[in-house]
Formats: sequence, C-alpha cells, structure tokens
Amino acid sequence: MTLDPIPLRRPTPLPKPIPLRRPLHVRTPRLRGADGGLDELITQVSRGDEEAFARIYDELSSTLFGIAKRVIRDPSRAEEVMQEVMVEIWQQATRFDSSKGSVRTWACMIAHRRAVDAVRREETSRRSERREGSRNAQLDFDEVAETVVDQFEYTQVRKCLDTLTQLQSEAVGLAYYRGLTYPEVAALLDVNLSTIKTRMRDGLIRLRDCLGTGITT
Amino acid sequence: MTSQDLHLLSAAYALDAVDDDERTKFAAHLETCPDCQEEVAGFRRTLTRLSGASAEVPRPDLRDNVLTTISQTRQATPWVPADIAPIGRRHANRSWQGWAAAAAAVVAVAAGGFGWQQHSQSQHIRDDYSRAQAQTAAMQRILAEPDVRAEHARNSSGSEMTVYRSARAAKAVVVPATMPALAANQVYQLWVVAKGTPLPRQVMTGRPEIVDGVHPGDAIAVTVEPAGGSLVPSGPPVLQANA
Repeated sequence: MTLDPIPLRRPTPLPKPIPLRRPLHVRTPRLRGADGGLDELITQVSRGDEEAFARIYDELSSTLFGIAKRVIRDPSRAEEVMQEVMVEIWQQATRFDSSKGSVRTWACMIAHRRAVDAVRREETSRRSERREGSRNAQLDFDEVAETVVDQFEYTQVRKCLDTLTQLQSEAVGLAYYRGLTYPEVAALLDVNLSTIKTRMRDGLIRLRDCLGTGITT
Repeated sequence: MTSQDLHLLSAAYALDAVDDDERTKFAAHLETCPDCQEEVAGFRRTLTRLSGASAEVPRPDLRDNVLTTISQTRQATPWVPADIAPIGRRHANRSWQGWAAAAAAVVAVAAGGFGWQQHSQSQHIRDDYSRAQAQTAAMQRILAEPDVRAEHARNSSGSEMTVYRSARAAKAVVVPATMPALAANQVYQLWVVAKGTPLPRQVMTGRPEIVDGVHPGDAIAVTVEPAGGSLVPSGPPVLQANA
C-alpha cells in the first residue's frame, strides 16, 4: 500500500483586499454595556417581548448565519438553520441561565450544534464533499475574509489562529468549520484518536489564551 | 473510558465533535467536574470569538420571516423555581413529565420497534430535542437488551421513578416520573448500592439518566445532596429500586 506524501505546510496566502462592495460601516455599533444589552434583552424576551427579540435578532443574526454557513456551506440551507435557531432562542429564552455564560455564547452554541446536526443528518455523499478541499482551518477561515462584517475582529482572530501548529489548526478547524467528529478528523489526517483529542484541546487552549477568553468578565 | 480520557474530551465536546453517546457521557461527567465546566465555558467563549469573526449579514427578508414565526410560537415553560413549587404533592414540573414522556417513547421503540418518530413530535420533547437526541441512541441500546427489566419505586411524599436495568449491559436507565422540587442549593443524586455500599453516580438532571456499573443484586438509590453532589450520601435514600 502506498501512502500519499505528507503535504508540506501550505504557504499562507496574502490577506485578501477588503472588498469594495460591502462597506465597512454596515456593522451596527454595539451599545456598550453587557454585550449590546443582550442579557437585559433576553429577560424581556423571556416575558414574551417581541420588540426585544427583534433587537436580539439584529444583534446576533450575522454571527449565527456566519456559523451556519461555515458548517453547512449551502447558503439556503444555512438560512433555514439560522431561522430555526432564532426561533429556538425565542422559545428557550424562558430557560436561559446567565450563570452558565453569556447570551451570545449560548446562541452561538445552539447555532453550531444545529448546523452540525443538519450536516450529520445529510447523506454520506454530502459528508465526503465536506472533506474535500482545504484541510486547513486558516484556509477555511480565509474564505470568509470577503464577507465578514467585522474586519477588526477578523484580524484579531486571524492573528491568534496563526499561533497554532498546523495540526492544531487542522484539528480545530475541521471540527468547527466542517462539523466533523474527532474520529472523522483523525481518519482524515491519519492521526490516532488520542492525538487528535489532545491537539484539539491544546489548540483551543492556545487560542483561548491568545484571545484572552479564559477569564469570565 | 477513564475520567482522564473523559477530561481530554472537553475540547471535542465544546467543538461538537463528539457523537451522541460521548456527548451524553461527557455531559454527565460535567455535572460533577467544576474544572471541566470552567474549561468548557472558556472554550465556548473562545469559539464565540471565532464565530464573531466570521459573521455574515443574512438576507434582509429573513428578519420578517423570523419575527412573524415567533409571534405565532409559544415559548417554553420556564423551570419552576423551587420556592414556589408545591412540596410533598405530585408536582407538575413539566420538565420531569416531559422527560418521562420521552423515555416512554424510547421504551415504545424497544417494545414495538416503531413509534419514536411519532412521539418525538410531541411538544414536550421538542422543547429540548437536542438533549433527547443525545440520550436516545444510548438508551435505546440498553432498553433493547433482551434481559432488560423494569422496577418502579415511589415514596409517600410523591417521588416516583422507574428503573430499567440490563445485567448484560451492566447499565440502567432511570426515568424520574415525579420528583418534588428542591431548594436551589440541593440536588437529587443517583447511587448504585453494591452489597450495602453506596457508590456515587451522577447528579440527576430531571431527564432520564443512564447509570453505569449496575450489576445483578445492586440497588439504585436517590438521595438529596448539596449542589454538585457528594461522594458519600448525606442522608438516607428518598427513593430506592431493589433488584
């Protein structure tokens, strides 16, 4: 049996130019305070306040659509999932527990879970499609450069992603941006299971420490 | 899987890179591991930043769709706070009942081989469908064991649970039916009582639970413990299902 040669580390592509068609100021300025007032808003939503929910939608729809699109790829399916997640946020607002994290983190967690559920339900053919193309989280991440809303945040995260080793970045990226399970990632990268689990963990620790997201604020 | 192995799973869990079985196991482990909770919470905040960096504006007309849909969608019943819940009576906490319904649906599959799809559409289960999904596969396997047996336990204050155990799987599925609400700093914890010695198991979540390491002759007990659970029971069991 012959094995494919191990690919050399791909050269990091130059940052793509900021597209002209989407002006930078489309981002609505966040109200200062607790993350755009999301924590206050969710309390109002839990009492059935539809107006407060509309503000949550405005604050989170881009982020949640971004998550769904990264994982699912198909834009119309990603739109469906984003809408389902929004309705779930409406329904579950009554049970949101702020001691377990912020509204934004809670919403992102639901969106990623739903996006992953959606791709895992699909056919095997679609799954193999997800494995094609780039194996590199940084390359996956670069794909978004043209459409991201928040260029500053993009640059910050990009810098931190660059501090990961190639294997760490592949392990985290294939799971997060493709929705693969860790055994699938291990098979794809031809690495054993415990190595993959470990690289996912030390990769996330490195990212966490770089972004300063380890400490609750 | 040792607890060290489980601990390593924290990142894969936060990344949703685990299958339903492992998700259930790790979620149970999380209940009793404050370090893991902190680590997973930090990873989730990290991934939230990653998501914020890849945000993309959706089609504007979706906003109206969603706002119309929610105006016609009932919100989930909030968890009933302990201090206003009736104590000592059959307590209508929806979540417990809902999960009993979920387990009943699981049992229906084991018994009849059909019906899960139908049951899974009921409102109670939809309310927290993801967690049902996570537990379903593992429970189905236990409930489908040829030697599975059911035991019912109840006490005078209205607590009720059903235990489905399989010696072959060395596991049990515990389905709480009604359990009086506790004070905010208290939890129900499961124990496997082996030859009179209580071995600690997970803190109950209100959903059907899989209890590991259940051998013939062992009893399954429930005690009231301080939040986070205990290594030795703080008091006598409030419920016990004997073999």
